[in-house]
Amino acid sequence: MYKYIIKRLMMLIPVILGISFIVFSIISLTPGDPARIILGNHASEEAVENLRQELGLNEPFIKRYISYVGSSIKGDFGSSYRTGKPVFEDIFGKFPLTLKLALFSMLLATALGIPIGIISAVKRYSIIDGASMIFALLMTSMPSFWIGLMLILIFSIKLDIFPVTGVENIKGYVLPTITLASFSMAIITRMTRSTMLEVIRQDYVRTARAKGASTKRIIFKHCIRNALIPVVTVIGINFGILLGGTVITETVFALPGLGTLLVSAIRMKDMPIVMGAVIFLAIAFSIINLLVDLIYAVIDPRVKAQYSR
Amino acid sequence: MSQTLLNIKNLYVNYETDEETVRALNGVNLKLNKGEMLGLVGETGAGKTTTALSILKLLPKDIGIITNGQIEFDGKDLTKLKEAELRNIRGERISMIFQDPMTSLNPVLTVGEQIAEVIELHKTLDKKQIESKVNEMLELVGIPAKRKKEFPHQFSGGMKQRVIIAMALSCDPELLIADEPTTALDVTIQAQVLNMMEELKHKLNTAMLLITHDLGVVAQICDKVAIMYAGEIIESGTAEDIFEAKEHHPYTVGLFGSIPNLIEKTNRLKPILGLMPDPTDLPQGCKFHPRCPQCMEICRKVHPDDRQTETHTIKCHLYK
Ligand SMILES: Nc1ncnc2c1ncn2[C@@H]1O[C@H](COP(=O)(O)OP(=O)(O)OP(=O)(O)O)[C@@H](O)[C@H]1O
Ligand SMILES: [Mg+2]
Repeated sequence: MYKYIIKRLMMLIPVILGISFIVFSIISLTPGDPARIILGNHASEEAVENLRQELGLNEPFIKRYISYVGSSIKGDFGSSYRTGKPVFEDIFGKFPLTLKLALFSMLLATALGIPIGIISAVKRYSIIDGASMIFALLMTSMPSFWIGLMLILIFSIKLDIFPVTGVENIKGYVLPTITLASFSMAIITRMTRSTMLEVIRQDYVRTARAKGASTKRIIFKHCIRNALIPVVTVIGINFGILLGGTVITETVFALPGLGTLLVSAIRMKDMPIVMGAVIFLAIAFSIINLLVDLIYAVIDPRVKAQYSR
Repeated sequence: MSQTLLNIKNLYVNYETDEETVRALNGVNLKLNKGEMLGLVGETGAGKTTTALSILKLLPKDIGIITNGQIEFDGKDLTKLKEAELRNIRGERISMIFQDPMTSLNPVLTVGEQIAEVIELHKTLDKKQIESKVNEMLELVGIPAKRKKEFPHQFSGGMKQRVIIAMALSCDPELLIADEPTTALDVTIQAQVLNMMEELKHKLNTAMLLITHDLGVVAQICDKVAIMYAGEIIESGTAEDIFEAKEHHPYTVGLFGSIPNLIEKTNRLKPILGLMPDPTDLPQGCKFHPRCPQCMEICRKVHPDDRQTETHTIKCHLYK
């Protein structure tokens, strides 16, 4: 098992090299001059040229990439072109908010999605099932910015229960969390329902019934663990997406998270920040994936057997 | 002298799917006494598994429907029992060995846990007693008790089948339904399992419904035989009736012709010509008439009744 974890962590190296190269090329090869953007349209050609020199932008692309990789191995990811602050100071400053939002909304989505999915499957074609499937369909088809705006309109402006923006206290997290959770929750509900329906039809469930086990016991002891195996993957993927993809919600609620930082850095061609944030997210994403695979091994003995190799 | 344990009367079962209605059982009559072993034989698709599942009311939900008939077990009609009452019968008084060992065990629970469950459900024993019972059952089917901590994927098909057998036997049932219990096993183990089941019959007076394709097995251990065709029992009787009597249903004759006769050294299998009728569109009259070498005019129009002589019953117009 430890060997497996080490192996997986080693696999991060080529992944990150690949991702960083792709992102580096995209930023370098797309039009737009960071020095010009930083100094603005009115700055003199000379000042811009000086800044380009200073930032090393005149070097050939490959050379710049190699020197970036070289210094980042030593732990130096450079400083923001814009603020001059070290990259990771910026990222670590913004990340906790994004992480909290992602974590809260995944918890909410899982805590509601799994039980609703199970109930829907067990009481298939019932009113509860119909209602939750319609709800799930609505949640996947409504864009999150719209859900966010509607929530603000109802709960902040009309009812004045939650703040429109800001996360000074826990109340501020409520609406953004719901906004972010809605899509994942719908996906988790539907996934749980369909895998549960699949599992209920399996022969081993019939065996359990033949033993005289009650429906409740069969669901809890025989079905849920089997049904959750694919759901765990979905939860992991959604969590990863949320870590990098809270931009829209952060914008709607005017929250300064990692998503907002990344988007504005891309717009400003702030290369060190973009690279730092992308690498950071790639690592976070891979670690989540690894955790998902480890959870697999806990749920499914067949998978565990593979990992010990 | 012998008491009736199971009495299936005029049982009809349909599988109703969106596209079609499969008429799987069409008036099955079957009687089994305490301590008796009944062999149920028939081609694939005849409705053997369906009969077995109906007894335990384990037909697929909303699809497999009992449309008519009674299943009396120890005087009570199982088709009318509530789910809670059935739970006390399943696993304890009637247990079942399923046809497909590969899919009949839960992949995420250990073999020991799965055997323990049935004991836990029906016996008031403490943890230690349950564990020792699990060990005992595993040893009984020839699996070292220490392997109970392993998962089904670590077992071979034959071993899985033995686990299922251990599970089915652990509460000393009055009726054991075994759906092709030996198909997945190699010949030596097959013999062991059959011996084990026979022993059980003598020791605990367990009645058995043995579903099989193997007429050799039937001849070897069954007291009674029932032959099934297109959801009906077309011939039934004691083993002597089936293997030695002069008069038989033409289907039985064909079925017996289709196993290689080892004594007479006829090497060639003689399969019955034609196919089983489509259960969504059954022929009129006798369901076997399209394939019957002795088909008469009446067979095409009138469904034959049972002709009973002592213990031997035949459903055919040839015998009046
Ligand atoms: N779940 C189902 N849905 C629809 N039809 C079914 C279903 N299960 C069985 N059938 C049909 O019912 C008929 C009887 O099937 P059954 O499984 O009882 O046969 P069997 O005698 O056990 O055959 P085998 O020897 O192959 O196990 C077949 O025509 C089969 O196709
Ligand atoms: Mg079958």
